[in-house]
This record gives sequence, structure tokens and C-alpha cells, in this order.
Amino acid sequence: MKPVSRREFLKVAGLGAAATALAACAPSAAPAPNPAEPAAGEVKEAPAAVSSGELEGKLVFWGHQDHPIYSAGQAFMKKYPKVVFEQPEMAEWDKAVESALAAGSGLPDMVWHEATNVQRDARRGILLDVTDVVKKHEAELAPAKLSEALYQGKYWGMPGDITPNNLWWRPDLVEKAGVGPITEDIKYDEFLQMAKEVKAKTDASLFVMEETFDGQGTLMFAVPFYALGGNFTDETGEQVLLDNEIGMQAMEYAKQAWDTGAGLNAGWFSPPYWGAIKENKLAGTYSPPWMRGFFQTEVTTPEQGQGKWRNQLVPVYPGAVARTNVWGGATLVSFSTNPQPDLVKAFMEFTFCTMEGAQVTGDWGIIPPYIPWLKSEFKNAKQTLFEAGWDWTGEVVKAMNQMRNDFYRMPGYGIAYGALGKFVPAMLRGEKSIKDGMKEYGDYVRSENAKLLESLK
Amino acid sequence: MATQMSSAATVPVPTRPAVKTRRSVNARQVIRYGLLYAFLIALSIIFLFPFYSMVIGSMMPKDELFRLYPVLWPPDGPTLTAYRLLLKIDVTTTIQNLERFHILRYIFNSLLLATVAVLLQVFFNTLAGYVFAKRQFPFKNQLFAFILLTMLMPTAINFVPFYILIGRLGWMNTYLPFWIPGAASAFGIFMMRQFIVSTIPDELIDSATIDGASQIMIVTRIVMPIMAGGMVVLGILGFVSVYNEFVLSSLILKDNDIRTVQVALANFKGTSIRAPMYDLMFAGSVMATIPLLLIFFVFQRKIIQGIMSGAIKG
Amino acid sequence: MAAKAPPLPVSRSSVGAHRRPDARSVLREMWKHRTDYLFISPFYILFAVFGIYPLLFGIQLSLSRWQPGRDMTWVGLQNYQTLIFTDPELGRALLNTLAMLLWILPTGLGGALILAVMLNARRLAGRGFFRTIFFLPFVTSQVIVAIVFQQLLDKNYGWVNLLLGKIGLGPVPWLTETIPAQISITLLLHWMGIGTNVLIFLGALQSIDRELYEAAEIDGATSTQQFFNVTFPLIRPVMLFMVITATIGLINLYAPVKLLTNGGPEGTTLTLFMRMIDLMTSVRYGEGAGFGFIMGGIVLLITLLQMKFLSGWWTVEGNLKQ
Repeated sequence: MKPVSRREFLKVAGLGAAATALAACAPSAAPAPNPAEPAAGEVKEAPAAVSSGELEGKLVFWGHQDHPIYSAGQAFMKKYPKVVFEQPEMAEWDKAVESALAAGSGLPDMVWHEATNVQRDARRGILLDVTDVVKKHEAELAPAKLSEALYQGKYWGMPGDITPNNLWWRPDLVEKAGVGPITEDIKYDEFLQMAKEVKAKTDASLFVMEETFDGQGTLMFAVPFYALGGNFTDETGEQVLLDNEIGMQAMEYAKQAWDTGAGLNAGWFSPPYWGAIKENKLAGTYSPPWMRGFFQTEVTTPEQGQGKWRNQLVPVYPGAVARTNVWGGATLVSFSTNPQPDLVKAFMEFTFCTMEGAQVTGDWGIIPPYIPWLKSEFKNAKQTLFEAGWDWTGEVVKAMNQMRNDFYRMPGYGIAYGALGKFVPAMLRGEKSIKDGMKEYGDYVRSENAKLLESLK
Repeated sequence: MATQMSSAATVPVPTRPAVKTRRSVNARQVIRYGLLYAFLIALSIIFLFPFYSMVIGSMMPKDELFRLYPVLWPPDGPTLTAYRLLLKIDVTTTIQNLERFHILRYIFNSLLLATVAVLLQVFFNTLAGYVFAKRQFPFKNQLFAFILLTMLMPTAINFVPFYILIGRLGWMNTYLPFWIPGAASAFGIFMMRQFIVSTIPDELIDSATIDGASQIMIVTRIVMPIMAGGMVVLGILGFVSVYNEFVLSSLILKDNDIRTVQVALANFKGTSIRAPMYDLMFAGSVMATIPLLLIFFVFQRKIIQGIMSGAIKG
Repeated sequence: MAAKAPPLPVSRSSVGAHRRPDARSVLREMWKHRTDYLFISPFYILFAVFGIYPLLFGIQLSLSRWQPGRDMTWVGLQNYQTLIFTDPELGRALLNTLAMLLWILPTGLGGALILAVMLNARRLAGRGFFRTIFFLPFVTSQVIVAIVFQQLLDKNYGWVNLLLGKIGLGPVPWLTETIPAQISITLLLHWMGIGTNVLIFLGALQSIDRELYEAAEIDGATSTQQFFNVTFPLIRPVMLFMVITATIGLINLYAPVKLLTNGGPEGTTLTLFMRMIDLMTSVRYGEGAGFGFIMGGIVLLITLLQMKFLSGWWTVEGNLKQ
């Protein structure tokens, strides 16, 4: 099932880390003012992986406005002048996809799909089988990402962005509290202790934790859950495992964080959330790499913390098998009814299996899964958020090397993640014991998951 | 209303008003109206506040919108940057696709969409409402009950099949799905029936019938002038809901040139994987709301004029 | 009750309530009223084209397992069975929805009526101004309304709690605990809905002849008495319309709650409609359609009860107390 063994991936990515370490000594690239800036003009010539036959046709992609695939589309058009790439702005493209499926017409050529939905729709048999093109590049693509598009031995989409989570933090704010620095081998309980002191002395939070338990705060559970080797479901997606020993232990860690009272209690992406970041009230947070794009758009002056962040491995949880977590990250998919699969596959290949495509999407702010790019060009990726001398790409690669190949984001993952807010707050407040609360949570997901799988048949 | 008219006639009208209590009545009136104003003004402030937030929000840089504690007034004074971006007045931007964004065009589209829809709705619903309120004919009650029954079905069930239907009719990327199916609605017929029942006396219709007026003449010459107020109410409600409709429009109107303003603005809303662009969204919403407010302000006078100037007294 | 038969209850036909007509005479009667049928025909034609197909599709869907692009698999009543006996949210969503209905309906309509009467006051200057203001929430984009309410009601950083804090109260968890969250939703709905309700009531109030008030005043009726003896009886048909449509609207409540609390905290403000949408968007179409028809049944039951208790509200005849 696993196309590339873990060790092999470690080897190539390890090379990347070494290269990055070297590059860190060189003066870092000039920071771009905006992550969304189209970088099509700076595409480097790379060996053409795409067949050189003249491509022709119109490609329609649905996704949110300001999208890495849009940038890739512009670059693709430049390379193949007879191709037209179009992205109508779609606020709720998931709904539009369902309606178009029902109507039997009007589907776009490609959409940007969350991992759990790729698994769901692969089971529904509505996605285009892109095994041939992915297989061709299997060795060059991040294995943990590959498994997200794999179902019954076939690939149902082109792996999109990799999202290993790191701890992001502000040394200046932590120092101001007279604690720190946060070392790489900091234990979780030490981290919480530090969070308490930072909060007491500077009113800044070292982690995010909304009391409704959705958005970024969920990472206080999801990170230890992943780190300890937990899984929401098994590999088939049929067994729900989230309420086992690991789940309870992870929830225990989340409760410990809540009990400090030191977290930022603001809705994710709400004005107070951004306000806290810009007004230096957020000294740290668990974060996926793609958050960099959003932070950079909002944090635009040194007073707001521009160039003052660091990223590194998350704190050590006793008994952990990994020091990261996967959150978000999408896959580029098409539909089985698509009339021009060759053109679609060529675009997919260009976007995530060539240096040019990886460069464009990487400049936008996501981390493409293309290992040759990660090894050579990732270290030059532009950024304005982290300290000038900080080897932030090296830290991302470190986290990438911690990624598990036995973590499954099956259809049940979406249900489980969506239901966190329903069950966790009562456990945090202590109204329910973690044992009872997790059991209730698990049973709910079990029942909903069984019904979903039944309806997918 | 028939009874109402006759009862009004039977009340004995005294020839002299009660003069001696006049002064105290006036004092009471002053206090009453004073309290009324105080209450209405207090309430107005509460009702104005979110609108104020939107307007002032549209004049703030995004940094001021994204604050830990919200601000009531931008510290550096209001700015029109967001409007300039939307109208593309000497501003360069890195926001993808913004060069294809034509807000005035979208507002015009929405106005066109809503105007035609409302004209059809008001006409057909008033027609049917009148018939159900004032006419007697076989199976009237069953037919009316059927209309009420159709209101009970949750609209979401209709959604997928309706969409399929629109596709088969070839109405994708046209305004027809917003004009035709809603031209006669259960809500509108029910509302107009209730309005007409409580407003137009039977005698008026009867005398017109005796005078030989055709039904269509009765509707257009007698009912509609009297019901102008009710029709305006229905029209305004219909206009705003069509103008602000989002879900269906976003699925049916995909071409850039025919999109409505709500569909276009939704792109600034952000999703779970993109932060919202509040500044553009607020400014765009203010621009989209202005035509609605103008229409409302102009037409709301009509609501009260209605019957007093109408045919009943004449 | 007056000479005219009220159009409902449904079972009673207005034709020949006193004697049983033969088919031929009914047909003749119908031909005589062909213009009436013509005038009401648009609704039925449109329903036949745009309503029946979705309805039949929905019924079939609720009895099948289906997803776009596939054939329907007939499963009989299994979807209903699953929903009624094992759905984890149906019961709670029903309770939430009914509770909201119970307190939002009377307060919303009552408040709107009082406000409409105030705005209808004869010597009130600036009526147009006030009416426009109360109508503002209706024209303001719902997304923006939700943003502003979140700013107002945020527990830690919201204006309301900041104000309460100044006088030593709070903080109130407006959006994060059950009862306060339900109160917040109520406030939001009133705030959003009152403009339209006032508008409709104003439309109804305009139909009342001023002379009636003058007569009542001369008879020495206080304004409260005028309200109950003149105003209320005359707007009862419109009130009935409001009660029924507001009930339907509240049972189908979705967008405002979705935007403000998204069903939280901990699912305690989840509405029936939200659950149905959840089912539909998670590819459980059959269950979703079944859920819709269960909701339709609930609405039918409630509105039938309302019509039974308010059957005198169909017309204005006989409502005026002398």
C-alpha cells in the first residue's frame, strides 16, 4: 500500500534538510511583500516532465479566490499558449460540485479537495483515476501525502500541499516574560508552565484554545493525538478508534492546556484572533505551514511581529512516536466523467510534479509535495514572517520527517473533526470525565460513520 | 371591512367635541409622544449600530478591522481605500482576479434581476389573492388549502431536483430561474388574500360588477389602486429577498458578466482555508445596500397612502 | 360568524354547502367562473412544472439510497426508521427548534405589532425615517450582520461584555453557553425580522379607517381599548398569515443560526434545518429527504393546530366589538 518506504523518504528529505542547513548560512532571499504575489515571471527552467506534445483546450478550476492553483494556471498558460485556464470565483464550490453531479453537467475540470473528501468521493466512484500520472512520479512525491489520495490501490487525485504542524513562537515576547527560550527538546508540561508565566507577565498566549473547541484550538488535542500514534479511524475507515487509550491520553493533554487558562480564547480567523496576533498578544501557536500565507497577509510591519517568529518541532509528549501533526492540506482532483483527462493530467503533473509548478505554488505559500523541489528550491522560498536568520524551511523539513505513514484521513476523519466542538468543551470544563466524554464522542462518530459508509456504497 | 364601514356609520357622531378636557388631553399627548420618541430613538440606535459598523468598517484599513477589541472609529480617520480598490480607481493590487471584478455591473445585474421578478410577483399574486379573497367558485377552499400545503415543504428538498430541472430547461446562466418559477408564490398569494380580505369591502366589488365591469377591470381599476400599500409591502419583501438571494444564484449564475452582487461579494467572505477580506466585503456590501435603501425610502410612503386616497371614499 | 363561509376548514366546500349539486351543475358553475380560474392558474401551472417534479423526486429519494450520478436503490421506509430510532440529532434539534418557536413567535410578532402601531401614530413626525431604520437589518447582508453580532457578543472581546464589565457585571458567555446562546439567537432573529414584520403590519394598519378610531375616541375608549377593540380585530387576517408563515419560517430556521453559533455551543442550538443540510451535504441524500418530510409533517401538525384555534381569524367579519 505504501508506495515509498518511510526510510527512503527520510533519506531524500534528509538531504533536503542538509541542503537547507547549508543555505541558511547564505544571506536569505529578499522577502516578498505579499505571499499572494504571482511569481510566474520567476519560474526557473526545469527539465520538462510533461510530454512536449502541443496541449490545447480549456481548463476550468473551482476553488476560493486567491489560490495557488490559480498561480499554477497562469504559469501553465504561459507554457502552453493554446491552453486557457479559468477559475471562476466560487465561494461554496463543494455545494456547487454536488449540484453539478446531480444535474449531470456543469462540473469543472478540477477542484481542490480536502483529504477526507478525497477518500469519501473515491468510495463514491466519482473521481478521475489518475494512477498513471501519479505512479510515474511516485518516488518524487511525499509519501504521507500520497496515501491520502490512495484508495483500493489507485490514486484518485494529485497530492497537493503537505502540512506538517510546527510550534510557532515569538522569542521576543517569551523573553519579555523572563522565560525561555523554548528549546527543541522542551517537554509538554514545561511548555505549559512557560505558557502560564508568559500569560501572567505579558498577557500574551503561547497557544490558541477557543472554548468552543473548533479551528486552531483543536490542535491542542490533535497534535498529541497524532504524536502518540493515534488514529481517528483505521486504514479502511470502518473502525472508529478515536476513543481508545491514546485518544483519552491526548484529551488529557488538551485539558491540561485548558486548565492553565493561558490560551488565546478567540474564534479562529475572527477579528479578535487577528487582533491578538497583530497586537502581540499571541506569543505562540501550533500551526500548519500553509498558515504562513495568511499570517504574512495580515502581519505586515515589525510592530505587528513581522520577521519575529520562529518555527520548530512541537514540544515532546511523553511516549510520542512523532513530533508533528497533519492539519488541512488538499489534493487536486478531477471527475470520472471528465471529457479531457489527458489535459487534466498534464496540468496536474505540471503543477505538482515539475520544478516550475512546485516553484509557483511554493511561492504562493503552500508546500508542494514534490521532493526534488523540496530538496533544492524550498530553502529559497520567500517569506516575511520568520526571523531573517532562522532556518524555517529546515524546521518544516524536520517536521515533515516526523510525519507518519500510518495516519489515515478517511471519510470518518471529517465527521470526527467536525464533531469535536460538540463533545470536547464539556470535558474541558470538567462537567464530564474524559472517559465518559470520549466514549460518547466515539459512539457518535461510530454511528455517523457507519451511516455515511453505508450511503457511499 | 364591510362591517367595519357600516359600524363606523352607526356610531353617533356628537356635534360638539368635549372642549373642557382639551388642555389636559394635550398635556397627556405631549408626554405620550415624548415617551414614544424617546423609545423610538433608543431603539433606533440599537438598530442603527450594526449598520454603522458596516459603514465605518468599510472605511477602515484591514488592520483596524482586525483588532483584539473592536474600534468604533478608525484612529487615523476614515479612508476610501476599499472603495477605490473595488471601483479600481488608480490602485494596483495583488489580489487575484480583482481586475475582472466589476461591482457596478453586478449591482446593475441584481437590480435587473429583482425588478423583473418583483413586477411579475406582485401582479400575479395580487390577481390570485383577490380571487381567493373576494370570489366564490367551485373548489375554492380546496384550491386554497393546496396552496398553503405547498408552503410546508422544506425548500432544501427541492434543491437538487430543481437544479436538475433548470439544467434540462437550458436555463443555466440565465435569469429565468429567478423570474418564472417564483412569479406566483404561495407566500405572496396568501399574503395578498389576507390583505384584501381585511381591506376591500364586498359592496365595492358587487357594485362594480353590477355596473358591468369585467373582472380584469375590477382588479386593475379598483383592487390594485386600493391595495397599492399591500402591493408595495409584497414588492419590497420580494425585491430584497431576490436581490440578496445567494445559494441558488451562486450555482446558476456562473458567468462573470451576469453574476449578482451577492454572489460576487461572497468571494471576499473567506472560507475555512482563507481569511476573509473584511474591508472589501464591507465596502462592497455598503454599495450593494444603497440601492435597496433608496428603493425602500421612496416606496414606504406608499404603504401608508393606500386606502385613504383610494376609491372607497370616492 | 358572518354570511360568508370561512375558506377553511378544508373539508367544507363553499359550493352548495346546503345542497348537493350534481356534476353537470358543478361544471356549469365552473365554466361560469372561468376568469377566476384563469386568474389563479399561474400558481398551479408553475407548481406543476417546478413543484411536482421536485416533490415526487423528494418522496422517491426519501425511500431510496441515492447519490448524484447513481441509480436510486429502493430501501422502503429504512431512512425514516434510521432517522426516528437512531439519529443522534433529531430529538435535540426538534426540541431546540420548538423551544425557539415557543418564545420567538409570540414575542416577535407582538413586538412588531406594538412597534407598527407606534409608527402608525398620527402625529408622529419622521415616520419614514424610523421605518427605514427598523428596516435596515433586513437589507443588510446576513454575513455582515453575523460578523457584527459576533463582535458585539464575543465573551472576551465583545462590546456588550465590555459595557457590562464597566458596571461590574459579567462576562456573560453569550455564544458559548446554552441559555445565553439561545437568548443571543432570539435577539438576532428579532433584530433581523422585526423590520419585515413591522412592514407587513403597517400594510395592514393602513387598511383601518381612521373614522373608526375617531368614533371610538368620542366614545371615550382609551388607546389600549382602541387597540383591542378596533385595531386587533381588523388585522386578524393578516395576523393569521404572519403566525403561519413565521411558524414555517422558524421551523425552517437556518442561515442566522448557522452564521452566529453554527449550532454550538456543543450542539445546543442546532436546528432541524441545519441537521437536514448536514445530512444532505454529507452525501446522505435519502436520509436528508426523509428528514425534510418529517419536518414537513411537524410543520403541518403545528399549522393545523394553529388554524384550528385561530379559525375565526380568516376574515374580519364579526370581529368588531361595538
